[in-house]
Formats: sequence, structure tokens, C-alpha cells
Amino acid sequence: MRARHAFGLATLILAMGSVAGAQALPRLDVTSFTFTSDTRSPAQEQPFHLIIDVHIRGRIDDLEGVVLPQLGTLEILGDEKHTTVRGDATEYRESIAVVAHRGGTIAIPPAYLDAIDARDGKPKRFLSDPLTLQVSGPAGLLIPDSATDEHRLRGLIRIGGFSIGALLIVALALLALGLRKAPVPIADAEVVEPEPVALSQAAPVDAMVEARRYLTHDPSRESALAARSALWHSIGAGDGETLADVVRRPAAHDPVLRAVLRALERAAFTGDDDRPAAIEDALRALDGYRA
Amino acid sequence: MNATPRDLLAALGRTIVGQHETLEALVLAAIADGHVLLEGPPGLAKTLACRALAAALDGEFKRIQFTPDLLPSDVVGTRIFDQSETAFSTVLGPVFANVLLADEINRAPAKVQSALLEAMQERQVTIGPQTHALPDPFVVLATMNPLDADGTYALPLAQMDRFLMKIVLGYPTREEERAILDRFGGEDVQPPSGIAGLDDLRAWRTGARAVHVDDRLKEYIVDLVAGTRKPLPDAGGYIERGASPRASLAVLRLARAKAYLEGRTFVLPDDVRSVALPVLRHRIAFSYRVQAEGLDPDGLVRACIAAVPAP
Repeated sequence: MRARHAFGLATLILAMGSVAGAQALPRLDVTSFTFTSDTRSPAQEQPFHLIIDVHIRGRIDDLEGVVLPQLGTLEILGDEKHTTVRGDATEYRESIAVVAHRGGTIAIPPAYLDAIDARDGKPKRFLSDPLTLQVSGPAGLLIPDSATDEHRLRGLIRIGGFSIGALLIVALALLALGLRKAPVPIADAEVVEPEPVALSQAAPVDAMVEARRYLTHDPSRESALAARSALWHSIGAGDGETLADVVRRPAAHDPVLRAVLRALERAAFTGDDDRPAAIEDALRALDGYRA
Repeated sequence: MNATPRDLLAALGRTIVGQHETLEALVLAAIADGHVLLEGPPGLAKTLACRALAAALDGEFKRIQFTPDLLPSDVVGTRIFDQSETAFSTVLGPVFANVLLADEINRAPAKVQSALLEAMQERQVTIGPQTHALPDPFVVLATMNPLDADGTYALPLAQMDRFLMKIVLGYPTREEERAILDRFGGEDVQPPSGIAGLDDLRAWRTGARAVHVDDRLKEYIVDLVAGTRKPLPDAGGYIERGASPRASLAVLRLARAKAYLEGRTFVLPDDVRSVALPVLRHRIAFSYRVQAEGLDPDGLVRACIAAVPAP
């Protein structure tokens, strides 16, 4: 991961906007960029693979600069990269072995690659699709342990939410295809920040149940941190981000959800004198959101 | 008077169009009892911002235009022989002010810079046999013009370290420039005075010192500063020397000031991260490669900050 951070650093430096920096980006004709998993429903504690495939027109020895997104709670076990030249094309495959230690939905933002687009000579950020995984298996320590009616209902809401999301994505894709003059196989965007996938409301609600359990079971700093972490992961945010990063995510645009996030931030970082009141406020905010 | 730092910031915002980062930095530095280095081309209201800060605080404002022939005594003061009294008397220099604008500090020779920077650090000045305490509060706002480098004396890193933060000013947006025409195109605009008093500022400083900083945030600050000393492999060739522990203290003080400005009694990771760049950017020695390759030094510092995960 350290090396990967360093790699991200290099691309960041190159993308600073200076002419020299822009000229240092590789010149690539990227024909496809995919980010998949060998299973969409991995089991808890069972290793699986995330796979990045990049197809490039032209022959290159090695592809550098593919940046992995934050993988949330997934632990990276290993990382293999292969670059294969076939005729006048290059195929790059990166396979990341990971394991999930917690159940629930994991939303992973797109992987990306900064390069000069050989087709028009402009610097661009090529984005893969985001990836959403549903980790099954035994629940965590404080996750509800039986499938109650409430949870079944929430599952139905989640499925409904994903179905609506999928329909929206298909509709947007059809609209985009209709507006484009010629089909282009990858995201042909200017340099933009990768945005995580917006989740349905079901994921934060699940996390809020979990957060509430943490805070009521043990109203301490550690519980406040655990509750904060659970909610952040539910909206696709990873460890290492700050609240300002999290509230910029599309999944956190709801002002009521933002109030919960701010209340948990206070509970996690305030002094011991203020913590009981901060946790009370956080619980009220959680209840307000669920209501 | 019981004004808040937000009142002060709002008053400055009514005088200066845009430049929010600069105005906030001035307020933060005042709360954190530190000095600010402002770098930007001429005509970006640096002087007006400093004058507005002094006026809003009801403090005494003085300005020194640094030139190559300036002497230390022109800054701190001197002793002159009074023939009528047949004795030496002391004339205090312009450094005795609550807000001092040191304009184009890099145009004066090193001995003048040292005289000011020692005063900034020691908060007192010795003239002849007598030591004079500087006013409290005492905030130095020094400007540097990145253009016209001929005939300038670059500040050594050790002296740059004495500035709590360095702010780099950029040109206003089109809308801001249009608003500048409306606001300043006619009559002279006087900065609002008496928004807060010096006693208010002293109270804010006491309040900011009491702001809680979680242990994990202290670890985060140490990691951020240490990250500039052992930069990641890709940045290693660009950084010759990282920031000193004074940088860690500066981040801590400014993060507290930021939290206090926001009306909080506790620091958040966002407070630390938001003040890290202005604290670190002038405390890092970059190698020749940064200039040779046309890289943006701020980009490197941002990358070092981004490489450290927040708690």
C-alpha cells in the first residue's frame, strides 16, 4: 500500500497543471478500462480478487500510473501485475487479492489512470466503473445476529434501491450513447475527481443501527470512533479521509445525514468532559435520520 | 467588547474582495500569536488587508518598506544624542506596533532581516543598554514579491521557519475583479475600525489554548511533519530537507485557532489538514530538480499531506 501511495503521489505531482508536469504523463490510446471482481458476493474471511483490465492501442513495455481507489474495509493480501503485448495492442491486468473482515455492502470508487489521450493530445483521467460488493457470511460483533422482519424489510428496500439505481444507470448510458457522435469504449472525461457510487438509503440505515448499538452499548471514545467508521464505510468513504472529504461524496448530500456525520465527528474527537453530551447528541441525530 | 473571531473575519471580508484564505490566515495568525509571510504579485491588496486587520482590532499599525539601504536601526530604533539634555535618548523604531507590515522583506540585507526576525522571536528589542518589550499583541505580516528577483536577499530557511505560516496569493476571479471595480473604483474605502479590541484578541488566544486536541490528532500532526523528512520514494529526489519540530508546534497552534474560529472546543482532522500546507510550504528545502522540472512545490507538499491518512 505504501508503494501504491507513492505511486499516487507521482501521478499527483504530474497532474499539478504545470506544462512540464503535463508533458511527463504517458501518451496512451486507452480503448477500455474495467474494474471487476471475481465475485460480487464474496464471503466474509474468504479471499477473492479485484481485477483491473486496461487495453491500450499500441505497444508499450509497462503501464504505470493505474491508481487503486480506497478499498474501504477490504484487506489487501497481494497484488500481481501483468503487461502483455498482442500484435499492435497492449493488455494490462492487475489482480489484487483481498479479504473482507466485515459483512455488508462495500462501495468502491473507480480506479483511474492519468495520461495524455493519444486521440486528441489532451491530459485526461480515465476512470473505470465503480464496484459494489455485497459481503455475506457471519456478521460482526455488534451487527444484528438474526434476520428479523425489520432486516428482511430493509433487504427488500436495498434490493429495490439497487434496482432503481441500475435502471437509472442504464437510462443514463442509453441517453449518453444517443448524444455521442461516435462510440468510445471508455469514460472519455476531462481530468475530474473520481466520484464514488451513490448508494441507496438502505446502507446508511444499516450502519446507523450498528452505530447506535456501539454508542448505547459503550458510550466511549472508542465506540464513537467505531460508529463513525461504520457510517463512513456505508457511504463509500474509507479510513484516512476527513469529514470534509466524506461530505463531498454524493451519498452524503442529505443534510440530515451530514448532521449525523458531524455529530459523530464531535463525539469522536471532543474532550472527555464534553463526550457524554456529544454522544447524546449523536444518538439524537441518528434517531432523527432513521425517523 | 465581546466580539468573536468570526466578527473580525466578516469585517475583513467586507473590506477585501475575495482572498478568503488570506483573510482567514491573518485572523488565525492573530489568534495563534504568530506571524505571516504573504507572497504574491503587487496589487493584490496585501497592504490593505494588513491595514484592515489593525483597524478592525483597534491596534496600532506601522509599515516598513524594506529597501537595500535599510539599516537595523531603521527598524528597531536607535539612540541619539540630545544636546540640550547632554545625554543619549532612545527613539523607538516602527517595530513597536501591534500590527507591523514588513513590505517586501526580501529587499533588505540579511542583517536587517535578522533584526526584525529576532524581534519577532524574542518579542523584545535591545537598543543600547536598554531592553524594550514589544507591544502585546504583536503580529508581523511580511510580504514578498515573487517577481523582480534581481537585487533581493532570499530569506534563509532558518529565518523563514519563524513565520507561523506562508500564504500564497493568487489573482482574483473575474467576478471578484468586477466587484473590486464596484467597491474601489470610486471613493476611498476606509477599513472598518473597532470591530474588536486588543483585549478581545487576548481573550481569543486564551480560549484557543484551551481547545482540546485528541491524542490521535497529535500523532497525525507528527506523521504529517515527519512525512516531509522521510518523503515517499517518488518525492525523495525533490525534497532535500524536511520541516522542523517548530512546524509541528505551528500546526498544533493553528489547528486550535482554526477550531476556535469555527466556534468549537475541540480540534478535528480537517482543522489539522487545512493548516498543514501554509505551515509546511516555507519550511521545506526543495532540491534543484523541482525548479529544473518545472514542478509546483506546493503540489509536492500537498502530495506529502495526502499520503498521510487522517485519523
